[in-house]
Amino acid sequence: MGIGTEIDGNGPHGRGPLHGVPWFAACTEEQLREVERLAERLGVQAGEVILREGRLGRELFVILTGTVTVTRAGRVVNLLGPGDYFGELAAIEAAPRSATVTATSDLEVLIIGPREFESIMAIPGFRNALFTGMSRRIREADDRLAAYAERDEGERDDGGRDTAL
Amino acid sequence: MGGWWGNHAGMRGRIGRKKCTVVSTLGREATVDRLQAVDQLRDCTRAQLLEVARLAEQIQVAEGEILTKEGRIGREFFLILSGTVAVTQKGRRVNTLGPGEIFGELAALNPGSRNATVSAISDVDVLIIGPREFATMADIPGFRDALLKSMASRLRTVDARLAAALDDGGAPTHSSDSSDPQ
Repeated sequence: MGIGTEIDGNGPHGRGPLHGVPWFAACTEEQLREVERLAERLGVQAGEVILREGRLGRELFVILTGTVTVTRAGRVVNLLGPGDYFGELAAIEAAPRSATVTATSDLEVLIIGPREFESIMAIPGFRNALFTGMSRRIREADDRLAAYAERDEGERDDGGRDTAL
Repeated sequence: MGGWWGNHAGMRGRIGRKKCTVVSTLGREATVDRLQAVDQLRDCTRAQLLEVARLAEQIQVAEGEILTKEGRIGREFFLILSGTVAVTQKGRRVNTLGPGEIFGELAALNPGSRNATVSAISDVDVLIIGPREFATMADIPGFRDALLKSMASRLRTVDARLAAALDDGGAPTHSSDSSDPQ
């Protein structure tokens, strides 16, 4: 992956930034320790490419601090920040990455590898966050698709309007 | 859940002096046999499938019947055992689903109105799982994986269609809603 340095585990009070991430809000202390045990923390520098469209990879990433862009075929499709996750599709079922993710600031991420993914999905708080997140993304994408379909129909009804860009 | 599914139930009869409705014409073991034939559930143990059969209700739906209606509130999700359904949004067919495929899960996970109408285009056997059972189902690894894969596949499809729509139509209005922390 060519990404940066390992970060020491917990913060000064023995509680890592996981507590600040809404995704883990539903987890008990014990579950959070389990997540820490199963996941790896990594620091990434601004500008680094974390995932590349078309490449193979199985890890799921959760952003602890920092921001990324998600691009597909060169087009920015999303901006993500603390508490957001990415890489889940290939973690669920092996397939080439469907988008490129690039750090737009220095970044701290939690990485969950394929072997740990199954175990971490047994943690209800974590699992619910993933399910809820995915269902929300599906709804939003469906709505955007519906909006495009309607717009296209509207243009056709206008009969021959010039749509050259 | 008895309500409007009652018309699609199996036999009506009497036990003693009480009228009752037999909801499924198959016993639980027979349901498990059907489930084992579902490709997406092949990683489930028989014990796990028995649990699924216990938590879910099995219903037979006739061709032409509507299972979910766009805009209506609904909390159940469905697993197709046999048959085919059409998924439409605003009158436009967006998908066709068959055995082993899941639908309705969005409203089970995120309460809200159904974002599509699903209707049977053949006679269909479905399992219906209520929102209260959802959490228990998600505890069954084989079933959880099937659900995750179904959602992942759906995300891939809709993302690909969006990309195609953007290619046809030009620059998207970028939505920053998805960037909210979860």
